[in-house]
Amino acid sequence: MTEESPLLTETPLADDRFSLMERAALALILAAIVLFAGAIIGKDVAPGNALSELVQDNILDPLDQDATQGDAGYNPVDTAIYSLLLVAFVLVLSAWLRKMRVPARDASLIALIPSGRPSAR
Amino acid sequence: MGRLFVSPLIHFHVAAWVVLVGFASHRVAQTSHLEGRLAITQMSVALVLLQCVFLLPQFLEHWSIGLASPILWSPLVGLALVIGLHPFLECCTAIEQGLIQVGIGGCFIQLAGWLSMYTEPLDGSTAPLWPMALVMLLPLAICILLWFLGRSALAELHHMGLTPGMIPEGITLNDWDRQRSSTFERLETLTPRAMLAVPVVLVAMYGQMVDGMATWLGVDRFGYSEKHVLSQKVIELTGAAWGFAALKFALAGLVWWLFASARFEHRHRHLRLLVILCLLVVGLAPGLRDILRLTLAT
Repeated sequence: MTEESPLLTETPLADDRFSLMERAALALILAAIVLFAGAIIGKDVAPGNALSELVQDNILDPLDQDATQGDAGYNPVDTAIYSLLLVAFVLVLSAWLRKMRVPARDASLIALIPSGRPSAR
Repeated sequence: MGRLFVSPLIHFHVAAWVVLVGFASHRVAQTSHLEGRLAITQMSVALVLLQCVFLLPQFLEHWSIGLASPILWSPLVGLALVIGLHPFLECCTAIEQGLIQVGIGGCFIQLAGWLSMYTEPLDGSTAPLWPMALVMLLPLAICILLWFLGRSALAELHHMGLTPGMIPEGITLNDWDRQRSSTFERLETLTPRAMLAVPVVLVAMYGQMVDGMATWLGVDRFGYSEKHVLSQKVIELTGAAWGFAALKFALAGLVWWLFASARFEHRHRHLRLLVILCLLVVGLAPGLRDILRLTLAT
């Protein structure tokens, strides 16, 4: 089926090549890291700047509240950020695992279930 | 340190452990001179003991350790199980073995805290056990029924060397959609029913149903509230949490439909697994957390 055939008009990308979407996802993750680092540094360098305020109010404060007082809840900003990053990490990790030639067995997912145990907090 | 054990950092924390275990298992398997997977088991025992170092002090802040204390015997049982599982994991890859052993060991360490909390509640009494039984067993019964419905179709595809939803290697999705071979016909015909019996898809469906039922019981019967933005909006729309539970059951059906109709190229085989993993993370993990919190009255 993979030999010459009039029905096969395209060749799949090689496993060690990244598609456009995978490269865009990697760029998104790197941008998020840079922006987050910038927000943390900006708290001291330029107090009150919009990015630092956004990160402090929507991400860091809820984390602190969850850890100290319990159940801060989520807000639309951090929900959107975490959702985008989740999708981006899925794309990048799948590309990385493919490139490393890690076997893709369903049993590997079953093996991960004990590691996904919930925290009781 | 407390931030590492609450959402969302708990997910990154656990992911870091998973990456560490996977990487260490891979390296140990490549470089060790010991026979078979003995080095992986040794590494797993060391990592479980490391988890004890991180977690047990947190428990000892609230409970004392004694001969009958779960804080003592639960990690010991976990370590014994990690070692006892060694002969049964030869069929797994090195990474799978490491993940299973460290994961199970970690579960028993966590169990120490949960059992301590149940037997010696910090504040207030614990809830009865019937919600946990209902939340975990009803979706399990549904998934077992689905498995029976789909197993013959799955067996037929496996006999042909095919995986439901996965296009054979070397063919793009566009080329696959254009052809009409017997392989194409069999895969397209059998995949929807076969997908009902694929364990990883069933686990993803199970997770969504568990989350829905746990939220419904927690909000409507035990006075908890939902912390996620979209989930809270659904509850407000329907006026009660049963609407959220219904949505989650529908979502479980949607998970099946998604995998029954989607076709993954061979190069996207890891993407398929990670998508299922995401569905597990946003379903089973919060659901189990919710039912544990409800049972332990935290």
